[in-house]
This record gives sequence, structure tokens and C-alpha cells, in this order.
Amino acid sequence: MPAKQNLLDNYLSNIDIIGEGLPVWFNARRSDAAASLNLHGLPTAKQEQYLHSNIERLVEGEWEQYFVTRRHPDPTPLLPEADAYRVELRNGRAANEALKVSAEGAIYGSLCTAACSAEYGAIVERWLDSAADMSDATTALTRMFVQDGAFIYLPAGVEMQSPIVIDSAYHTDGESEMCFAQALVVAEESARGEVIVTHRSEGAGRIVVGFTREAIVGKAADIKITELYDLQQNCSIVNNNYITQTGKSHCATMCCKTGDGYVRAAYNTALTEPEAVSDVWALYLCSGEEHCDINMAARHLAPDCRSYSLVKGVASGTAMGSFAGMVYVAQDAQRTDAQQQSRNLLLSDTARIFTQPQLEIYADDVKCTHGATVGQLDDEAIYYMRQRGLSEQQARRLQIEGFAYDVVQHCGCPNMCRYISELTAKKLEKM
Amino acid sequence: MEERDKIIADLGNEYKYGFTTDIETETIPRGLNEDVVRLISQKKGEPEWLTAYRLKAYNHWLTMTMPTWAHLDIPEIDYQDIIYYAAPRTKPKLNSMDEVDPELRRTFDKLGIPLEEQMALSGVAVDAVMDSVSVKTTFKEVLAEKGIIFCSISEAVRDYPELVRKYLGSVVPYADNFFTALNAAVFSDGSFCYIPKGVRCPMELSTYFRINAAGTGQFERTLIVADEGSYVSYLEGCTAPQRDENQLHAAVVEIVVLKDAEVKYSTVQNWYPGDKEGKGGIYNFVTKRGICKGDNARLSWTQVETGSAITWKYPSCILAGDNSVAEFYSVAMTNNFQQADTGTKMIHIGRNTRSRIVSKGISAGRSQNSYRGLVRVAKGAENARNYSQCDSLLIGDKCGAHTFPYMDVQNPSAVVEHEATTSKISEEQLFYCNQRGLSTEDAVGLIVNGYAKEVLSKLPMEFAVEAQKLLAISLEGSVG
Amino acid sequence: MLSVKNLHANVGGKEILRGINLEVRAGEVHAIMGPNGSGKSTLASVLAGNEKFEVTEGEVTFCGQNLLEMSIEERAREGLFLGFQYPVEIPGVTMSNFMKMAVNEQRKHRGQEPLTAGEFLKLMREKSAVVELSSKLTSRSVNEGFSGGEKKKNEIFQMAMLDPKLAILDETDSGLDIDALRIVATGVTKLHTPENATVVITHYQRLLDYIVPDFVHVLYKGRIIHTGDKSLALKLEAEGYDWLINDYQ
Repeated sequence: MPAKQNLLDNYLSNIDIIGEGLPVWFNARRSDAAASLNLHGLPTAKQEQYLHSNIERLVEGEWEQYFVTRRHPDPTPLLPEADAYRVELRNGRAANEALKVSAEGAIYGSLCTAACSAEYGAIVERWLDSAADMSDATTALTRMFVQDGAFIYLPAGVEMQSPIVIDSAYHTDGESEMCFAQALVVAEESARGEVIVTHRSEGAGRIVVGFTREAIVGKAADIKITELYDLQQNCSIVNNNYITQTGKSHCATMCCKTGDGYVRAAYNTALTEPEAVSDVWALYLCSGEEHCDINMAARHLAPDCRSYSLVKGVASGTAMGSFAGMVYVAQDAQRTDAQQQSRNLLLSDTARIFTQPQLEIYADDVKCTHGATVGQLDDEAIYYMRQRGLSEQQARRLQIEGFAYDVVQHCGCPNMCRYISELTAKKLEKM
Repeated sequence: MEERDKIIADLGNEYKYGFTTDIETETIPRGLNEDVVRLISQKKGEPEWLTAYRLKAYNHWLTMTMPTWAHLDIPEIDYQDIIYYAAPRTKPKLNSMDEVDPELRRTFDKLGIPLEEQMALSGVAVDAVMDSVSVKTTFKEVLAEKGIIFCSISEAVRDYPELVRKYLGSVVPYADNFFTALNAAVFSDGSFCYIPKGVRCPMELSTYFRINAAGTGQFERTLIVADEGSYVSYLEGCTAPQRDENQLHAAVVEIVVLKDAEVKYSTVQNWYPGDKEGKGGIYNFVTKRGICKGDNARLSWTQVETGSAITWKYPSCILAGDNSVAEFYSVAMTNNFQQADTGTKMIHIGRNTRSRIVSKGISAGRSQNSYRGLVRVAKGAENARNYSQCDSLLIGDKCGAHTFPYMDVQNPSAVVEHEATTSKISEEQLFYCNQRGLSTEDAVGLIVNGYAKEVLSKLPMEFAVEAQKLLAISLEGSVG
Repeated sequence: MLSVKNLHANVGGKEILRGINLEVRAGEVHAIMGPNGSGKSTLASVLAGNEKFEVTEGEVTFCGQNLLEMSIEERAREGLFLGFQYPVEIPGVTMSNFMKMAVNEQRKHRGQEPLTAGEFLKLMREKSAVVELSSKLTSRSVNEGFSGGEKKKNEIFQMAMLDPKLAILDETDSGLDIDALRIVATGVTKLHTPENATVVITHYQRLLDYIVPDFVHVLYKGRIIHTGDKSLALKLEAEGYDWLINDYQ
């Protein structure tokens, strides 16, 4: 049976279980998403954003019933540090159903609980799915099956002192499992805070994760997002991120793929009001037979906004790294300042890098630049370092670490930054 | 000269080349089927293998659909409403210039084609293709002394069947895309050029294309073969009369560059772009590709694209030979309702190959201008180098400028770099020029030419001047 | 310490060094001068082991070992330091991290324990004072965004950190203003001991006001055509190379 039909059948025959305990509006949008997936179908290589991601192959096959709550063993705690608020997701479901309030006044916890709650139900209804693009097949797929996820709400003026961590872990002992989760971050006017999202996996079975995250960044709000993909080889993730920024807001996103599992991640930022600023840094490290596909779009819909993105990729072995970027400037988005850079290192004869930075511009008073390079290590620099007594291997390692550090240093939380650096170094050992 | 001035004045200086020539043309009925393909082949007295090739291409074409991936809004094209063959009835089997139909000659005069004796001085050998049939190739004798073959492709099929059969379709197979299949089925004429081993072609070779008859499509085919150690610089110019309807142009150019040889191919494309409201104009769907087949081969494409309602064109290079070098220099300008999706492909296969891409897009009015380019470095392509630079200039806030570069690298010794910027003509620049007494239009022309200079300087002298004027003319009405 | 005999070297098939002979003993300062393109920088590169150059003939011994058989890093760890004319920028690699690795590799080579973080920082602080290098620079990426003067100071700082037996300074004075020149040159002088040796490659006499050479060699077309004492540098400054070149030809 074709993968799409399989998924839709699965959806239809389990519709009552999936939507159990969730508000009517939540489930109504679920069926809209199903209709959208049915209409658009699963993406094929003909669609440019999915040129290098074979979603069909990813989702085909037989899957366990993934709609019933099951307890999984808790993985080892992520960071041995206390100074963070946590939302723990296990195979897409919040480990703790209660919503919590931080000392600074932020609300965080289970998305399902929030959607059903009297206080926050309206906020979830207002903002969930407001930024996401349901014509994107994988976004629709996640929406179709999602039962829970994370909710983070920073009311107006809240200034966080510590980050909120969404620790999303995936586990299966043997069966093939699909998990879906959605995260909603709403930062109201002048709120400030940092969100850390980590994806990691344990266990022996095959897992496919559909994840969608939306961040609504209010006027003059300032949000930092750090996202880490530390997945085992048997775990694949399709992660669609949508950020909507209003006037004078700032959103900085840093993401890093250090694990071995397949990652397809899309970061879409819409700058909808003047003077919004977006920064995105991404790093992906692919060794062995891995594959990583990063999509990044900055949509300038209002004048006087600025966007910057830097995506760095390293591929060794027979790995393949691909990047597709887009800077879109609408007709009245005058005085846009947009920059997009793709930098890649190719370390072996059999690895492959594909990069495609694109500009689509409909306004004339703009400063848009993009650049892309694919290359190898700088021989001059290696010579220089060897002259100072480093071995060739050390010099190479140091240079690759330096290449990666350009991205990693943008993590706001020092502990997390150190943690990612360690994972990066560990990954580089394999390359 | 006076007559030309008058014509230009009559046309309100909008499209300088928008006149029709009053020559009796021989056309076949509209539409396309196997019989039409056979008829074209038969009219041209072609050998059986070529008829078979055309039919194979036609049948393949039937299975294909028009590509939709480009950033273009292409109206439905009725392929059964096109005349696939139109030849001037006065068959030009001529011995000297004097015998050319005077009306035709006047056309070429208006076009500024150096078909006249005096043009011997400028050293350009011309093959003029009007509608679909090659009219007259000048300087055949001079070239023949060096062993250079420069003639229409129909003549080549007749006189040099081995060469044509060996190379036709070898770089651009008919099944390559929708338009190449169509072209292979119905191409009516074009130019053929062969430069023998070790010969440096002493003059620029030039083809001038013109669509004249109403309702016709033009499907010319150009094949250039540069044998080992040879050199040729080839120019191509295009114009079409002003008509309300859209006309189709689907050409194929193939270039084979053998060991140590060098080919420079320059195009100034000025097909009728349609009027200010976007009515009429040529649909220009062209496939151009060259192969650096031998070691140390060099191929350079230079194009100035100012015409056509829709341009879909990616002159490409396959760098198969070791140490081969390829270049692509492009200025694409769109105004009013024009749409262009143009760029190149650089396919690195051999070792130590180098390619360079310089693309300058200019969009004005309500036009859409896209650069689309692919740089691919294959596994065995050790030490490949590519540098691409793609700049866009926007004039006005109703137009669009887009850049779609693709890089696919499979060899770790490659260095591939792409840079792109987008800019506009600043108020300060205009004010400065105005203050020095230039009109805004002149100032824009000046700035645009400065912006495009890096590419224009790659054109042969006579073309560079024409291209500069074209840029200025095409911009008229876009400022102020 | 260093003994170069009849050294010939090519780059891209072109012979640049055409029979160099040079003896450098501990405690000595040598200056190598000569017109542009005479092979000065090539000599420095070949001694450092730059793989772009191919040695076609001759021998080089360094502290009793065959230098030409050693890899770039072995030479460095044995105590041969090259101060680069154009130090390369290495984005993302911090100075402190880089130096820590370099110092500890050298210590390992000598059979010493690696420095602890505290010891290393102390050493950094101490040595950066030698060339008045701002501590801000040591926390930045190697040479990235450094001014010309800062890059050269950074070279001498690294020399101080690694304490080489033989330092070859390739045009360390080029592109320096007078204050930076003084700082760099006095830094080199401070590092000079009876146990180590310095070879300075320079165009200008002005550097030699600070770093007083025991020998001045003139390199021309890949050969040392004349050797003198420090007065030779003054004479060259005043009269140029023509008189020597004419003599030589």
C-alpha cells in the first residue's frame, strides 16, 4: 500500500483514540491537516524543498500503534545542572501533565494540558497552527497525529533568568515506532527568554519523529532558541520550525546536529512587522552514511527588517549534507537587510554536499547578499599550525573545530554551549 | 541610414528592429504531426537517417510535458497553432551579393548585418537565418582556404554528412528536454561550423536570426565543432518583428571543443519583447550546451539578453577534458512585462577543471528576472574550481530579481564559491549625474552599462557597442 | 646548530635556491638581506619544511639531525620556529586553545608533563608581556581580524611561548610602524640567549638597529654572494645591492 494511504488509513481507523481528551477545535484542525496531506500527498523529490529527502521511504512500512500512552524508561538526565525549567517529552508526550509557573512568571508544560485548560486554552487556540504551513506535507502529517507536546508562554514583560529546556527523548525497544509532537512558544510584548530544545534517542528499535515547533515573538520581545539533534542512527526526525516575528522583536536560533540519526529540519522565519531582527546559525556534522537536510527561509514581509543566517556543514565518509536556503523579500519590504551564508567542508572522496542558497526579491531598496562555498581545509593554516608543532591530524581537527565553533558559540546558555562543544568534539572523532 | 532613422522614428523608438520584410514566404500549414515532420525533412532533401532521427524525436516529444520548474508564468502554448516551416520563396542559390533579393538585403541592412562587401573590413563572416532558412553565408571562400566549414546546417547535411551525423545530438540529445525534442523534430535550418585541427579562424563567424513570417515558430539548430588545437569566435544575433501575437523560438546550439581547442560564443538576443502592456513578444526556449571534450579545451559563453517576452535559457558547459576551462558571462535585462529565467550549468568531470560564472541581472518595470545555475563537481573531478558571482539590479519596486544557485559537490578537493548581491540605483548616484547635466534616463543607461561592464567587455568589439545601445534602449520608460 | 650545505630547491619546476651554504651556531644572530625575488622567503620556507618546495640537492643538519627528513611538526618540536611574513588567519580556532596544544605537543616531545590550565595561563600572561600583546587578542581566533602589527606581535608572542632553539623571522619588520617595530624587535632581543640563535630576513637596515647581527648575508639569485658584519647592512642601506651584484657577475 502506498505510504500516504497507509498513514491516512491509520489515521481514520484510530481517529477516536488520537483525539481523545483534546478540545473540539484541536481535533477539527487535525482533520484539516489530514485533508491537506491527502490533497498534496507526500513530498517527492520533484518538490524543491524535498529534493534530498525521501519522506516516502522514511514513513513507509509497518508501524506500531503509537496512540496509546505507554511509559518508557526515563533517559539519563540531560544536563546535570539545576538552573533550568524543564518540559520533558517522552516519545512526544509530556512526562508530567501539570503546567508549571516559573519564578519569573513564565508558564510551561504539556501542550495537551494547556489546550484543555481554562486559563491557557484560548492562547493555545489563538496561536497554535498560526505560523505553520499546512500545505507542507510533513507539517500536516505531524499535525494529523499529534497528541501532545510542549507549551511555553511568556506573558508580556516577563524576563527569564534561566532557560526553559524542552527535553524531547525518543525510545523504543524493538518495534518500529512513529512519534509526533508539537511545541508552541508564545512570547508576548517585551518578553525575554531562552528556550533550549534537545532531541535524543535511546533503545534498539527504529523511530521516526515528526516535530513541529511554532514560536510567536511579540513586539520588542527577545527570544533565543537553541536546538540540538543528538539522535542515534536508528532514529530519524523531520522537524519543521516556524517563527513569526512582530515589530522590533529579535529572535536568535542556533541549531546543531551532532548525533548520527537522520535529520531533516526546516527553519522558517516570517518577519511580519517593521524592524524585526532574525539571526539563525546552524551546524550539521555528517559522517558514515548519514544524511542531513537543512531548509532555511527568511520571509521579509515588512520594511526595515534584518535577517542573518549562517549554515555550516561538514560531511565525511559517504555522508550527504544538503542545504536549501531562501530569502524572500515582499514588494513593500523596503530597506530589507538580508544575509545568508552557506559554508561547507567536504572531507572525503565519497561524501557529497549540496547547497542551494536562493533569493526571491520583489522590492528594490534592499541589501541582500548570499554566498555559498564548498571546500576543504585550508592548507596554509595546516602548514602554519604544523610549524608550531601540531601534528597534521591535530591541525586538521583544530581547524574543523574552529569551523564548527563559529556556530556553537552562539548558544546563549554557557552550560549548554559546553555540552554541545563536547558532543561536537565527540562527533568529530568519527569523521 | 536615413531610411533607418525614419523607421526608428516611426516606431517611436520602442523596438528598433520591429519591422517586417515584405517577402513572399513559403509556409506549410499550421500544426504538427508525423507528416509535417516528414514534409520538412523532404523539403530539405534530407537523407533517411535524419528523417528517422526527427521522427524519433517527435514521438518522444509526444510523451513529454513542458517544464514548469522555472520562475516563469508561461501561458498555454498551442503547439498545433504554429507554423513549423517558413522559407523565403526566392530560393537563395546565389553566387554574389548582387543576387540576393533586394528586399531581403534591405532587411539585413536595417538590422545592421554586415552582409555587404564593405563589411569585409570588419572581418565578419555571416550566416543569416531568416525565419527558418539560411539565406546566405558570406566569406565562404576565404574560410574554405583554411579548411573551415561555415554553412547552413542543411548544406552541411548534404555536403558533410559524416561530420553532422557524428556530432548532431551528441551534446544535446533530443530527449534532453521538451524543447530539444521539439527542435530535433522540426528544426528547419541553422548554422554549421567546423574548424579543422590547429586552425585559428581568422575572422569572427556570425549568425543572424530573424523571425519574419507571422504565426511561425523558429527552430534553428547550430552545431560547432572545434577540432584539436583550433580557435573560433562565434557571434549570434537575434531579432524579430513587432507583432501582437506571441511567437515561439526553440533553438538548440551544440558545441564540441576538442583537445587544446577554444570556442567563444557570444549572443546578443534582442527578440521582440512585447509592448508596454506585455502584449506579444517571443517565447525564447533555448538549449545551448557545449562540451570541452578534450584536455585543455576552453569554452566561453557570453550573452546579452534584452529581448523576448519569456526567456528560458541556460548555456551550459560539460568540462570533460582534464584542465578544461569554461566561462559564462551574462547580462540579462528585463523591462515591462518581460520574464527571464536564465543561467548556466557547469558540470565538472575532468581533473583540474575551472569554471567561472558572472551573471548580471537587471530588472525594471513589472518584469521578473531570475538567475538559475548549477555547479556540479563529479566524483573524479579532482581539483575542480568554480567561482560564481550573481548580481541583481532592481529599477523600480514592481519588478522582481531572483537567484537560484545549486551546488552539488562530490569531490573533496573541489573549491566552489558563490556570491550574490542585490542593489538598486541610488538616489545619490542619480543626483550626482543630474548635477553634472545628465538626464535621468542617460544616467540610468550609464550606470547600467557600468554595472554590466564586466560582461560587455567580453564581447567582440562590434557587438559590445550594439549591446550597450540595446541596454539603454531597452530601459526606456523605466525611470521617472 | 644549523648547517646548510649546497641547498637547491624548486617550486613548480623552477629552481629558486641554487646552492646555499650557511652555518649558524648557538648564540649567533644572522641577518639575510637581498633584493626582491632573491630567494630569502624560500629559504625560510624550505627550512621549515613547507611542502610546496622541493629540495633537489644539498644537506641540512639541525642540532646534529638531518632536517630534510623531518616533518614540519618534528622540526617545530625540535625547536625550529618560523615567524611568518604573512601569518594566516584561522577562523574559529582561539589563540589560547591553539597555543596550549602547541606548547603541550612540544613538552610531550621533550618528555615533559603537559602544563595545567593554571600554569598555561600564567605562561600566556608572562609571555604576552614580552611584546605588549593585549590579552584580548589571545582570546580571539588565530590572527583573525588582527592588524598587521598585531599579527607580527603575535608571531613573536608565539616564539616566546615555544622558546625555540632557532628562530627564523621572515620579514618580521614589514608593514610595521615605528612603535610596533620597536616592540617587536626588542621582544626578539629579549628572547635571545647564548643557547639559541636567530636568523632575521629583512629588507631594511632599521630592524638591525635593534637586533644587532653577528653576520649579514646577501642573497642573490638563490645564492649567498657576500657575507659581512653589521656594517655591511649600513653600506647596503646607503648604496644598494648593485655594487655587489656587479662584482658577482
